[in-house]
Amino acid sequence: MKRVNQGLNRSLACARLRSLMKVLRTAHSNCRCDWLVAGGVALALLMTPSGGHSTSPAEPDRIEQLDEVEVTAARIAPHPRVLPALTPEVSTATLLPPDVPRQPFTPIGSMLSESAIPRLLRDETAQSPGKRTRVRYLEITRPAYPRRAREMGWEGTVVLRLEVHADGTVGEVSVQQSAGHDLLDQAAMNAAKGWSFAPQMDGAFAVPAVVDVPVRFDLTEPESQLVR
Amino acid sequence: MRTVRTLLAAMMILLSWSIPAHADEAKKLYNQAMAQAGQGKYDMAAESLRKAIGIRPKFAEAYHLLGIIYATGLRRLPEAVESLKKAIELNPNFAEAYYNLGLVYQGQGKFPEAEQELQRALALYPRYEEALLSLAQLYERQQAVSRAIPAYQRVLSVKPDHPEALYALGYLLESQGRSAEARELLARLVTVQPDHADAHYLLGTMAEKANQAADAEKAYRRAIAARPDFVDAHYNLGFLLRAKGELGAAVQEFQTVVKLKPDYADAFLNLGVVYALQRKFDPAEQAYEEAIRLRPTMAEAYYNLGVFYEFHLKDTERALVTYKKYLDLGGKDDRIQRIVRDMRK
Repeated sequence: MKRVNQGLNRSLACARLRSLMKVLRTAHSNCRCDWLVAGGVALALLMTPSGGHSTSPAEPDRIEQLDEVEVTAARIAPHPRVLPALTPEVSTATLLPPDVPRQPFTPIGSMLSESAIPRLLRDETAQSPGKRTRVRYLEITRPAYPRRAREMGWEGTVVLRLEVHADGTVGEVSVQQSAGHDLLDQAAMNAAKGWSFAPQMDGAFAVPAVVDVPVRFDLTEPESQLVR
Repeated sequence: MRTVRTLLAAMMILLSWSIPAHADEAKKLYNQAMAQAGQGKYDMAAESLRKAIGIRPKFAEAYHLLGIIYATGLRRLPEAVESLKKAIELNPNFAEAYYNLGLVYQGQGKFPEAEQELQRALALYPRYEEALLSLAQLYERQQAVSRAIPAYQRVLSVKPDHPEALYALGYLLESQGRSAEARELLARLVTVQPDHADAHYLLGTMAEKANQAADAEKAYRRAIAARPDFVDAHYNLGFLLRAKGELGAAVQEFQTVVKLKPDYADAFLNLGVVYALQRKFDPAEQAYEEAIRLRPTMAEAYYNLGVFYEFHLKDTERALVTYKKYLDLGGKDDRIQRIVRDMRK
């Protein structure tokens, strides 16, 4: 009975993982992360936002923190008012004959106009969507399932935290969350060091990033026991 | 007291009539001064008036005109004050002299004195349009909006279509957030005076504020029709056209702006942005560079130039240098700060 339950649980877990993989494949088309049955290694790579963790190799507070959408509205200010300075006019002299022309004069204390309203356009190309891309997988070699782990029936998911350099190579690797067995954690870490990525792009700039990658070790039952 | 003075003045006039030869000579000199002032010969005009006063020492109008000439043609304000005071002394009911003295005091920045003289002129003639206007402007100059508004309203009660009062009141009401009233006055103004460029412009900015872009565009176009070299109207029209996606037309407006005002860095920057949108890269770069040449501390120009290098020329090296300059000048864009920080790693 116990064994049946285990089998059922495992099958449910497999089903969950399968749908997760489906999502992943859609999200990361470059990622060749297949659901391996025959090899005995189930490897799930998942790029997860890892903001707020303090154990990461780089500055985690900036990981996958999306840009604010900047809405630039032009400021509209009324045109500065130039107050015409009135000056005494010869025409106000009471005995002025009507045909004497009003001579032009420069106004007393004329107020200067500050004509420019600061309204600046901005090239918003940098704000348009798709200018910032996440780290994507390029070459991922899956670790071999450690023999001893297979023999012992050890399974689990280790979440690795990787520093991905601007050139796509992997820098520091740490275990963010253990699979529960050092052997599995170590196997995943060793493999991860050789991975390469398409780096995170910020506009035209390739920038370093920190990503979390879950690696799932999963021993499968014979095909017949896989139920949806 | 005033009656006595008036009587005295009347007697003086009678007296001057009783000596027609002198009166004629003084009057002739006065008229001569008026003509000379009209031709801009202020020194000669002043001389004629001094002669007239020599002949007829109580000639209030001559002192009055002399005061005006001192104030306007000769720009000798203290003498102007003295002359006008003398005119008032000789004729205490001389409303125009009070008014002009008020203007001279305004020119000297002596606002309380100016207000007093204008009030005296208005005590004599409550519907003295020029004095009412000057008083309103005096308040406006002192930024006493709550006094300026009723003062301009008083001008309009005397002359409902007074263009300056309509504009001023519209402007002040708008500045107080009373847009509906302001719009009504300005609409009246452009009916009375369809070529009042400033009124159209103000209506344009108000329409923009109310998100009525089509009305704003119309208003700016009318402002430009009334005053083709109206830089700010072209500038704002350029903004509206850019927002509408009429890039070619927007370029034209900004080009007009920089033609009218070749040192207008902001306009060059905008021109660059619109060119970049049109993917006309060479003119865009030139426009940005001109904006920076005109105002080397203009952070926003470096921002746009950096974006231009990064996205349009894909030249990250120059982009980075430009972005650094942007930040050095106080630029605060998050993305640029992030990129420059990441690139330092």
